[in-house]
Amino acid sequence: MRLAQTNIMNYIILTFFIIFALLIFVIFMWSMLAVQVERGASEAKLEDLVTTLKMLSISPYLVKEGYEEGSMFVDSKLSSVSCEDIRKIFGDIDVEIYIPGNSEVCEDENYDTCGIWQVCPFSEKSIGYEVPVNIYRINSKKVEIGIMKVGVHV
Amino acid sequence: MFKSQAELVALVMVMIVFIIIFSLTSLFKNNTRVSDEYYNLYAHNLLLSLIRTDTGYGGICKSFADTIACAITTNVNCGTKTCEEIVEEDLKSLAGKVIKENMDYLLIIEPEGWEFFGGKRIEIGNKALANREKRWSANEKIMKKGSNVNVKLIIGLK
Repeated sequence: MRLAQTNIMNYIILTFFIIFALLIFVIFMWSMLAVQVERGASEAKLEDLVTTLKMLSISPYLVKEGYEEGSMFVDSKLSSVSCEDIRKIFGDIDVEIYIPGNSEVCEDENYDTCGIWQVCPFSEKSIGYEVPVNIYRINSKKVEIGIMKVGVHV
Repeated sequence: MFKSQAELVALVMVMIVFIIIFSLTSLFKNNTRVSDEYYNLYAHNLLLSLIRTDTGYGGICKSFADTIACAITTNVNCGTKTCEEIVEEDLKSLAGKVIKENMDYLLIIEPEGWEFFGGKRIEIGNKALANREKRWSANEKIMKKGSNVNVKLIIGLK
């Protein structure tokens, strides 16, 4: 009788562990699939973003004429362009350009002294890339160094 | 009983393996690969932006490119400093502002055809980057009367 009870207990414990192991396996497979899909989507978005970075760097809406290699952004153009216009052309992206050490946020009035252009402000859900660029001060005709951040929502 | 214990041990081990794989998967979750294309673009833009930036000095040292050419060809003074001193100071200041914290750089400035004709060569930054396998580089040529100047920027992760 005791032996039979022990066997039943063993079977119950064994069944419990098998179900548990199967559950873990299913969760593992599901998470692997989810990670792969998420990772693939993020990488595809980031790959596209490199192309967007290059296109933004030569966009006549933002850069100075005469610089074939681009990346020479004009302060007045950056202040006057709207996020809607940028998103119409380049899709649903976030764009910010800033000059390190200059924390003055740009408006229409202070475009020639400010240092942060939040063309399409970044949100918490954005991931993206940043590259060094130049900012041409149209009034003083000086060239400064800055950073352009471009992001997408994930 | 021994048979059941063995089965239990085997099951527990299988579960441990699953849990380890599961944890590893979670570790990789947010580790999205940054492409070489991006780092090449970053290196190119960094060099281009650096050489175009105004130094704050006038005349032959107006832009960083002008100052580089001066440092290689004549090395006269702009203000109280030589062109080479300005190049070194400005590079450290500008790169400190814009380059990513996890990156190192090496800037190599030499006259065109330096391998054959020799001349002055300036290297600023982490010289070990030149021999590193994983690195990205960008080249620009500064056109000047008499002698063109080649500028090479190498970047790598720290």
